[in-house]
Amino acid sequence: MTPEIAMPDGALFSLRDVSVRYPIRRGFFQRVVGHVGAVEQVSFDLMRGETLALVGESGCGKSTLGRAMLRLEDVSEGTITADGGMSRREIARRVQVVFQDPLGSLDPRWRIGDLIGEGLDVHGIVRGAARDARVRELLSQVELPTSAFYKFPHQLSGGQQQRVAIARALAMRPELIVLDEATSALDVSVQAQILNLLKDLQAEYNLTYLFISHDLTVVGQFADRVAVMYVGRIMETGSTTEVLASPRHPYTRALLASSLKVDPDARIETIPLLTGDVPSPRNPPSGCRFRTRCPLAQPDCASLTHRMVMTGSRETAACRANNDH
Amino acid sequence: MTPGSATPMTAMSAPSYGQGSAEPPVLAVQALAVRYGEMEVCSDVSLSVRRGEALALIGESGSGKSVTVLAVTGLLGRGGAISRGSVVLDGEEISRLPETERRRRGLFGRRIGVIFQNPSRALDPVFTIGQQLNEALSLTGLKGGTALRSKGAEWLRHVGLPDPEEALDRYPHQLSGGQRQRAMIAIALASEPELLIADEPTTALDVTIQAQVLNLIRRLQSELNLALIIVTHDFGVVAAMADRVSVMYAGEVVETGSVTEIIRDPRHPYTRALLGSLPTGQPGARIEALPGSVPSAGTMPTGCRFHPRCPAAVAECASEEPRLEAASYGRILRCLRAEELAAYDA
Repeated sequence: MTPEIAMPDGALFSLRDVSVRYPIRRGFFQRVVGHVGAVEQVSFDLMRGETLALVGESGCGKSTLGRAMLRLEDVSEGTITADGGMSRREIARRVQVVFQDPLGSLDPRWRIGDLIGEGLDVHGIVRGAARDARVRELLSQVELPTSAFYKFPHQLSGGQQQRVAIARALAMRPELIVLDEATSALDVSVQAQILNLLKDLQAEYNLTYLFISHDLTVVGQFADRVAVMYVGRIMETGSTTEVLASPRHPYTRALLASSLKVDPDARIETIPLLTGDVPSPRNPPSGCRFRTRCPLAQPDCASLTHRMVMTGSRETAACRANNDH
Repeated sequence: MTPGSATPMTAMSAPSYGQGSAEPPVLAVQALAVRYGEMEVCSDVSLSVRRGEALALIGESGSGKSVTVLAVTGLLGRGGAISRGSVVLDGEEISRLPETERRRRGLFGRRIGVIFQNPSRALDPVFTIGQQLNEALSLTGLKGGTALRSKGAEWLRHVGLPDPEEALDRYPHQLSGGQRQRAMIAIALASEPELLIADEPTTALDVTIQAQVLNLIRRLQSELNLALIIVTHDFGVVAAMADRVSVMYAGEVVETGSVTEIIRDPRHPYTRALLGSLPTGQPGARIEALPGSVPSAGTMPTGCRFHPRCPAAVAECASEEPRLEAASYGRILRCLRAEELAAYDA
């Protein structure tokens, strides 16, 4: 293990220059011919009790980063330090995850009671009647009827299935829950119910959330801080209100402008468009990774070294258009 | 937002036919019901769309919006059938036509173009984009390799694919998600349809690509003067794209109005609840969540289908089925208390 780094007061997780790279293998001997940098040089502190949102388009590395914090992904460079240590067994209890597709993450042949109690059994926390009582308590915490105990996942609606996934996570009395697009597949009315439930649970148990999402409106309402990612790198991070109200980096601005608003005056013709597709992390642009789509790109953006620039409480990736050098 | 600021609708001949104007609608669906065996999945859908107009069909999952699209395009599949109502395309009743007759008249694919949510599933992986375009182009009577190829390349240029000539020889997997959706749009439009149906066309795409694709659909719609039906669950898409909106709940249309009316001054309690449950982006604010979920086809409540979740429900809502009709203030809605529902004070 790499040496522990000093964590600021109140931090639950500290990430320093974290990179996650996957090898590209070719040929008969599956020789490693290169690496895909899914996450590159990411640093932030996750404070106890806060909700930090990771936003960005698909392939930006937000889910990979979440998986790295769950220790489901090996870190190639940099360090992730957790308050209380990073042993796999401890992390498996203290950090839980809720995925986008509840049906895909619940074994169809298991009953709800056993699905929620699985972690309790595995970690030997409670057994027998006490375990069943604990599962029923969890059912009521996520506002499911106790009759759900003997049901199978397919007998529940999408929103109810997501409640089961949340109960499963809560069973371990975790400190951090990684919510990986946890409400993206739900209808708006159900999404609202789940977001409210998550808020209530957070207040009750002082939970910390890493909220991975692509929906900036949901993030604006739900998260305290936000980190905007693009092709593996963080482009901007700060308090949600600040970042969404006055984005500094051109990518954050473009992302905000592209998201549709529920306003009949915001017609599609008036929305400024970014050209092209997100570049592949196999072959990222040199310098600033956004320069191939950036409306403010200059020739020397290709030679810009990625670093974060502090303005107040906000960090923005160095940008020529912001006169960073 | 000022309450009741929306322009009042003009008088209507039939409730579902939108604003009464001289030009007949390209598509008019009237009191459509669809059954799969014993299950009635869609009970009373009325909507219409004219040339050059974009109609949004919005609803949560299970509201019957996709089944409506399948019924209009004749793709209900085995066991599915239209049990009541009519579908009129350009003055022609098409809901009772057998498959062979639909094909002969070239309804689906020729006169009705469809863009599906998932382009990688709607495109055939073993044919190149060019081959799939040729199939659509030949429906217009175009023949000959070079003519097809140049017309195909023209369409791909039209939808903004880089290197259209090269893209003709590409297989779907060689394109990115956004490019595949562009290719799909080219194929849907190559047969020069009168009606374009876009079923959740951008749900699988990232926001920056979503804006590009929606912009493209809107541009082509106005250039080609198409009637467009955009099926979505996203009010953002509705606000950006639609001229008129029909809101669906549990297999029925519950409210129809202009996009400004529906978003700024929703009248039906369901439309209000749906708009109310959208995150506002206000930090820390609680969202007004609508309790419960959409009922399934087997367990429809009696009376008004929304009454068990409706904050404005009264006793008779449980027994009496409301009809879709124009209220005195011009909106078309399905609510027994339509006249009492005041303007929306946001």
